[in-house]
Amino acid sequence: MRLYDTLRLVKNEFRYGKMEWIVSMILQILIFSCALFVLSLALDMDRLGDAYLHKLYPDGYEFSFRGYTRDDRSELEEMGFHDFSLDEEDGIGKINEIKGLWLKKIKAVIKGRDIWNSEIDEFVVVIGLFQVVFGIIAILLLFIMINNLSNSFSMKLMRREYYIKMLSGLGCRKLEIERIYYIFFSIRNLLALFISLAINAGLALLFNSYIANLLGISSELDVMRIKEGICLILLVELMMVIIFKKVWRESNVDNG
Amino acid sequence: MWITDKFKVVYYNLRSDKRMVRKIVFGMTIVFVLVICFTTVIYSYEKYKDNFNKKHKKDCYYYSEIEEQLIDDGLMSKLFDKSEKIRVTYSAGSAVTICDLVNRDKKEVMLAGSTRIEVENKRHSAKYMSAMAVSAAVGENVVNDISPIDIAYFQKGMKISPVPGRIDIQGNFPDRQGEIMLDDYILKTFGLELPSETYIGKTISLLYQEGEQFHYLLKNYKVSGVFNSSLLSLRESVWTSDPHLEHLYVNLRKKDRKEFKISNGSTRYYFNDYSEYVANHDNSGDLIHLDLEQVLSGTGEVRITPKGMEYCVLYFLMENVGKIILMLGSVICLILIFSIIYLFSFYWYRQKKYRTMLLCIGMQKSDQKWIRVLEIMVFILLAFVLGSYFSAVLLMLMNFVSTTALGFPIRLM
Repeated sequence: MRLYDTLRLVKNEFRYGKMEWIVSMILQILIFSCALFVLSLALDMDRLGDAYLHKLYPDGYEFSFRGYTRDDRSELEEMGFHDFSLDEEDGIGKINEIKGLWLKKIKAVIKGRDIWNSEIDEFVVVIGLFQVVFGIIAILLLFIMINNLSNSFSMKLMRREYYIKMLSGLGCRKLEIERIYYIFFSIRNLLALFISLAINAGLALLFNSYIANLLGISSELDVMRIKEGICLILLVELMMVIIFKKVWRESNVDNG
Repeated sequence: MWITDKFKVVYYNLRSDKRMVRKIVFGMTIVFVLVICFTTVIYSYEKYKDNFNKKHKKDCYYYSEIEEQLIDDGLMSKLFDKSEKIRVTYSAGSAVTICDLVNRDKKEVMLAGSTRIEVENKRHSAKYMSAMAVSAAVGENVVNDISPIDIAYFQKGMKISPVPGRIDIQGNFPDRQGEIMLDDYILKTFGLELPSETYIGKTISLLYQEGEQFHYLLKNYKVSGVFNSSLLSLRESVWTSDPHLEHLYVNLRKKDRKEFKISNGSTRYYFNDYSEYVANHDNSGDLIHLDLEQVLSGTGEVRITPKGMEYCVLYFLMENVGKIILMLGSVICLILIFSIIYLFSFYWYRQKKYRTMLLCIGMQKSDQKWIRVLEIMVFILLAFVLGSYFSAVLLMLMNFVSTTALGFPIRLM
């Protein structure tokens, strides 16, 4: 089958069952946008928190160490600490930002050590919890979206069962028919993903102006998450291929 | 169609499409869990905010200082008018006025070692308990000879407690001239060990030693009431730079007024909640933006305590972050509900042929509607049972984490 014919058949697919694919796409856009925004918050929360708190600690945050000796100086320097005062087991040092600090604290605890500052420890813990909870929510949303995608594929193939059999009867190879639906779903997915990226950019802009006006935070959420967007596109397209193959195998169109 | 037949059809329908049923029940369970957890967290959060208000009330207030001045007839009405205006401007719940008195000649506060209290011609000197210094409550400040004994000026209408009515007092406030009110701590410190109420109605005098001589500062004042010294613990914060630890409140006789003057004092404006603190602060923007230099350098007459600033910002953040989380939660719930509706439509679409067949062999449309309703009810029931179980587990886990890490308990409703 020529590429032109394939594209014409794909175009036909968009005309058929409009209600279903539009509803499915709206759902996909909602989930993508929400997942991206929650993920953005999870990734940038510590940076925003640091930007807010930094006004109170312009010279850096002073932390106390327990269990670190002079030999661990290089390790602490790698973590970003400076201006040390270390003795046998305890010490103090400064760090310029608290971004990702809760992870460093966890690593220290695992090694039986401690890095602490009684004034901002609670703040760091709250940020850590936020990041974990928001990260989990974003992953769960992606799972829900994958489930919805799978249902959407099944529904489409069920509705087009006779049509696919007809195409097959007319001499189209299964691979060619599969390709029509790959392209159809890919276009839908990419469209949903790009709209979601645009919505996420809008939400991020709103959020940035909200926190700038409200709290005077100069740091911002990344508006265009190119890297995460590309990763998401690759992930979703890969998932789509896997899900589609599974649904195709299970459907009557492949069996009959 | 018999009801038992309807149940049978529902049972077979559900059995025939187990995978879809699992998906729908799972999706609905997540919605239930989300709704239950969100409601519980929001409920706990609101409770926590209420407690936060009460817990930190004594640390957080605005205050305007009262300068050194002589006591005249119009002084208190002037102070009351001014404080009422400020109270209204800052939407405060209550205004507390405390004016320290000193003898005009002495110019300094009285010290415990040089002070005597005379009750019915018997003089009592201060006795200090060493343990006091160790386990002292905020108001227990008379620990040695050089501890100050502060006296406050009182007139009818003055409020000395941040929570109106929250003062444990035997007798009355010294509303009439020539009356005095003391707290149980000062009575105890000066060895007046009888039950507090014994002293109500008695006349007492306050003497101060200069050289070898004792002079009467207050002579024959009638004790109108004795208040519980816990008031000072409830009112005075260890964090503020505006402490007032007066154990005696006196309504001076007119002829005695010329002997005294107000050395200093303050009017405090306690707020009902922190949102009002933030909204009404002169430098509200600077406060929230943490431009503390700007806030502290403000030349405004009314100032806020440092803890007041800290808790205002914290409360403000809690409120606004809470709103963002609530919005996100609502969107996620919407997505899930939308997904479930989509799943239902898919589920019914898959059974389309089968349902058409049932109609062909004589099933009524009304029966089919009933079957749909029953199916939905089974889904809801299953999701509710599973959702309740998972919610309980999740809430317990959340309670553990939040209590350990943040000291914020999640209250199971």
